[in-house]
Amino acid sequence: MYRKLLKKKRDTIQPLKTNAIDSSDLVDLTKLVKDYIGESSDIVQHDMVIAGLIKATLFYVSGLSDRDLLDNSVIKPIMQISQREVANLSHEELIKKLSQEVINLSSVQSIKSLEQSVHLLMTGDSLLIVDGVDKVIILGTKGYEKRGIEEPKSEVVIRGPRDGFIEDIQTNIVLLRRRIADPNFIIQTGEIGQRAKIKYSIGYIKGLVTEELVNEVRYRISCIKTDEVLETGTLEQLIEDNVLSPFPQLMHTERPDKTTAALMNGKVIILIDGTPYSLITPTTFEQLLKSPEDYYDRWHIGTLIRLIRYLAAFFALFLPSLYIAMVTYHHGMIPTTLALSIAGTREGVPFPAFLEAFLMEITIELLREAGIRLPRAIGQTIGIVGGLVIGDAAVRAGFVSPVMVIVVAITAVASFAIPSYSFSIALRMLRFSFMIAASMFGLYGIVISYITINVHLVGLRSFGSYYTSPFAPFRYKDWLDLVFRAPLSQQRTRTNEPGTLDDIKQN
Amino acid sequence: MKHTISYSISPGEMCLTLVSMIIGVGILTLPRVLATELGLADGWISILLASGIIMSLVALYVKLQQQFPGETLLQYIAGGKVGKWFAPVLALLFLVYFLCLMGYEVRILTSLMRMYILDQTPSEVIAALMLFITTYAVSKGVQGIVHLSLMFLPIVVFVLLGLISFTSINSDMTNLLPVMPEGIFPILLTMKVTLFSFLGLEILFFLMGYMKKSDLKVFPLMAGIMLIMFLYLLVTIISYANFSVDTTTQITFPTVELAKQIEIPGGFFERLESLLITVWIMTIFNTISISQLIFIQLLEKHFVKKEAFTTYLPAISIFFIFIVAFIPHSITETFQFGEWIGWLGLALYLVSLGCGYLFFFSRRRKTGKVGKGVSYES
Repeated sequence: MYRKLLKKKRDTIQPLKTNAIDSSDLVDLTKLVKDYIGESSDIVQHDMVIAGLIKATLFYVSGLSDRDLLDNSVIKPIMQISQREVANLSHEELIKKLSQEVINLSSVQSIKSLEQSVHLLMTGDSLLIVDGVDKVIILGTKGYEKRGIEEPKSEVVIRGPRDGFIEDIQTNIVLLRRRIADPNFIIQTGEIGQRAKIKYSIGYIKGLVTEELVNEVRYRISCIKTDEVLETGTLEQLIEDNVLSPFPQLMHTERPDKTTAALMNGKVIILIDGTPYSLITPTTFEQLLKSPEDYYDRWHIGTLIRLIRYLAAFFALFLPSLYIAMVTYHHGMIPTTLALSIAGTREGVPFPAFLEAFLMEITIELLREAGIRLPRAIGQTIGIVGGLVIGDAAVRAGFVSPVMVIVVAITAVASFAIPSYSFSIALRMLRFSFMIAASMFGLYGIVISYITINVHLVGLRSFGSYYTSPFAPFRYKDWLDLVFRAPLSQQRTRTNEPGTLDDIKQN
Repeated sequence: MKHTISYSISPGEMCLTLVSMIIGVGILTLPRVLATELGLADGWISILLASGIIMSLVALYVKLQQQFPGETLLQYIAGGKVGKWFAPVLALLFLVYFLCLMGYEVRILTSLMRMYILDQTPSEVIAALMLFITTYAVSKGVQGIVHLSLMFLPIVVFVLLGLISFTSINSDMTNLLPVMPEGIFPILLTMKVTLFSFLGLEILFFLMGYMKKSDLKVFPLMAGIMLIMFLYLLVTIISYANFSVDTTTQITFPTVELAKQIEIPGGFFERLESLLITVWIMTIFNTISISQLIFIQLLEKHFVKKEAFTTYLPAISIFFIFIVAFIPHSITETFQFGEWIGWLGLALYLVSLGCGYLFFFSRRRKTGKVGKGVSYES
């Protein structure tokens, strides 16, 4: 109801009288195109005369099209064509001759739809309009500046490939294709955003992925009606199952190798033009604690790293709250000597443990946020200044106890050890609620919060997959690749979530 | 999508759910109750015998359930002419039973908390918090409840075994001798106590209706009962060995006191009973949430048919559980209350099982021997 009230008439979109091109006159056609495009000055109109006989006009967007390509493969051959060749040709034959013999491009097509041709113009193709022909010739002259392939900044590994996705979707697809030479690797492309019309691709491996999953992904994306989707993060929020959950329900990665591994497990990936991230769906809890490096190193190392990561997740979530609970309610749990020394350091601290922890946690979050925004070199300095100087000064000034600084520092370091950034943020947020619970009800509060999170998790789905698998629908085979990372020769099946059509990975 | 449309409990999940339902507060008090009843160290024989009986009862029910896969026992009973009148009566009794059980668990939880963890916080607040999250859990339905059991049970068993392995260093096994000085008869008399500690079996009547026909097997459930038996035996034997039988009678929660005995080398943590209780909150949560789910389902299926009311049922159930939990005046009265619940539960199990078979046989006679669904496959 409200939507109806709020809905206003939009008059900025120019209504098109006719979509199909019905005129063959050059002046008419040019005017049509120019009316549609409006008055943008970066759209170049280039008039020419073919063989001194036929007038033609070329439209392209400067910067989006490759100028050299246009000069050498389109304009030059058209100019050099002799009068004898084009004389006495019908329109159809002229188009055929131009596209098959004259123009040296791999992609030349002629279409009648004006809207489509203008859209292609906007994505970097050029339009060639020839007098007397009631079609537009589309020349594939896309060519624009892009960043070179670099090492992904947000996911660094010691052992593993160094290439990362870039902002160009075509390059990203190539990066994946180079790893999967399987013809069953399907990439399907579409556009999202009613105005921006940003290219996206769904990728999956036919014969592995279940039909339901692909359909679900397609359905959810096709339901999006918004102006623009600029990042995978935006898309993620529009298609995730539970908007209220603090946990990420889709995984994003900059690494082609991680994406390839996900494809091989029967998942669907989504790429968007203009962002160096791929989305992986469905995602389960345990996958957020995995890193591709676990598989590149030998299994002993992989297992140890996984153990450390689970420990890190535990610390990042529980440590400050456990400290608060022990200091406030359960002095008895700490051994006497340690309890005495903690009490000694807390002497003179004016705040209760909860406030102390809260202040320090907020300080460290501030430092972290500031460190991200600043240029890299200064960011590091801020980290050191914040960590050492403020921590030390706070202790000396008697604001906080040294133990609290240790606890907060370990928590911060632990939250950096988690491979998935969005998961680490989730833990950071939940940590504060744990701290509040601990300050009110001690250990009981912590357990109650833990149970509450578990209740939430068992109800959570990611594209129909149980979020807590393989813990909660107990899948014993997946436990070979959970905390304990079994030797690769023992991991013979794909993971159980999502279900795949072919479960056997190796014989 | 496929998971959300239909969910069926797998045999392993059923087994673990059963275990987490049965291991409630019983294990914390079992050694004391057995020692008080018997006065001898033969409690473990009683546990062995009781688990044998329980196993046969479970097997009997699974055989019955195989006749009507996809239905709960009460739905099956309600299917006939006589049963239509009989099922609501049974349902009402079960409602009372689960209500009392939840009240009892909540009450024991508050006593535990007051005794060991939070001595200042009012019992009512502790109980209310627990009931709020169980109600939240119930909103996740059968799948959520079953999966929660799977999430917590490994932690609980792991911590219990870990703690016990530390205590066993300073135990004296001679406390368990002599074996059967007064013959088998007094042991048989204590069977009621051990049978009570296996209660919670009733959930099979309701949850096995969510299993596929091919999954209705006896063995996984047997394995579950064996696990419980093993834990009970371990706890009982080790508390006798640690405290001797006479001292055990004086301790309210012997299992918790066992944890108190532990000294971890290096002395990094002390008073590990807080850890045990902290973890034990999870099993108590499991027991209550499973019971509450069944409680609400029973109400929905048999008594409150109106859709407008069913949304309020979880909230209303909190109210009643809360009241029941604080009916007993003291911890002694609570244990007395627990014993009544035990009798009620045992009787209900036997009556429902008997009724189930009765109706099954009478219906089979009517429809002839090759009636639908009458095939013994396991």
